[in-house]
Amino acid sequence: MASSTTGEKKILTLKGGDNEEFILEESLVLQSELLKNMVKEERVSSIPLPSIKSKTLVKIIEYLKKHAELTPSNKEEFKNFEKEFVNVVLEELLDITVAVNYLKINGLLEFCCQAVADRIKDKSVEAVRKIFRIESDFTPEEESEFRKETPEAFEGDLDDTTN
Amino acid sequence: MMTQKTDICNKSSREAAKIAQKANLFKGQQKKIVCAYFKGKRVMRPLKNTMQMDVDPAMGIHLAEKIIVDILSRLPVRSLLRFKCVSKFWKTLISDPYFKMKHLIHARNNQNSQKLLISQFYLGMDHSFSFYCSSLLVKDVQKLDCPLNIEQVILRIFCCYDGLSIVGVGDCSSEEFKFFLWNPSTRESIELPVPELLPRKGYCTWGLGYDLVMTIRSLRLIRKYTVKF
Repeated sequence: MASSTTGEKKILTLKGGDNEEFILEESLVLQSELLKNMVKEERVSSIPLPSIKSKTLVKIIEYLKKHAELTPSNKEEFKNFEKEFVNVVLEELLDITVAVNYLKINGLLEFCCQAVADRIKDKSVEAVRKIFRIESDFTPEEESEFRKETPEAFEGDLDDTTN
Repeated sequence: MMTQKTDICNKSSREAAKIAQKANLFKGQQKKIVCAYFKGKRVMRPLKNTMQMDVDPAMGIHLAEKIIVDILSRLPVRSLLRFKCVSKFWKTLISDPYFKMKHLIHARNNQNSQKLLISQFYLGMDHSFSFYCSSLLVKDVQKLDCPLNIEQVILRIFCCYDGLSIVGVGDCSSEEFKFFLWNPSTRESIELPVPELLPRKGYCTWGLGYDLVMTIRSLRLIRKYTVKF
């Protein structure tokens, strides 16, 4: 358990779903409303996050570090970093979005949701079902009714890929 | 997470001490301990179901309704009309008035969502009117079907507000207008009653606005007539 303090900087351990530990400065995790409350109210030193994959946690910590370094002079650089940050396969982006929602990192959540929206807006219905793992509960007749009602929504080149 | 927090808060210091004692008995089996003190600080026990990871075939994977709403409310109307047929749950979500309001708020702040509605009139032997919708940022012009599908019509846009517009669809021969409250994005329209006071000759100014109570979001139609002699 890393509950030590080095100088003035408090150290906190985050434990990912696969028990991998991440030791980082407490000030970084304060960007997450959830962790901030845990740290402030409960005075915890180690926080298990079993539902977040370590891979996802690595990405989020990477963001927290970059965001903490954000100054008016490196705004452009941060924007480029943000673009790269969401440039992952959709499944991973959804994992990140879910984790960010859980951790309550508000600015990043909005950015992730917008990124998901941008990625799925031209997808076909079948692709969206696969991405969100949804089984249709409509009958084929009901589905063809939708297509008849708003044909313009189904026209054009729709993307069938799921990544 | 909240339940655990309350549990911890309700425990008196004596109880906490007892737990700490127990904790010493179970060294090396930390996972079984509800709450314990290590080096003066509390270590949270891993919680199950802290994230909404339940799989529901209708709702899909681990995504909570809040996230789905957050993502979908950022989509263009065309995508939403398509995604209504993903599942019954998505259809209910997209048709919900709260969702529509959230979508409108996003659209207002998003430059990509701002569109220009154009009515074009071709002069010629068979003169015709058409509606077009154009993006303000990129070159993307779409022809729109008019609310009432009749040939040889006169189309007029009277006013627009928050993505809705009042259009007049008229017959070339009689010059009588039918008035529609039209949503060009969803192609939905409602025929409005022809105002009794509408002057045969003269100008008419139209306006659309909301009641002060925004939650009800009732649209008010303001008509102002100026009769020209």
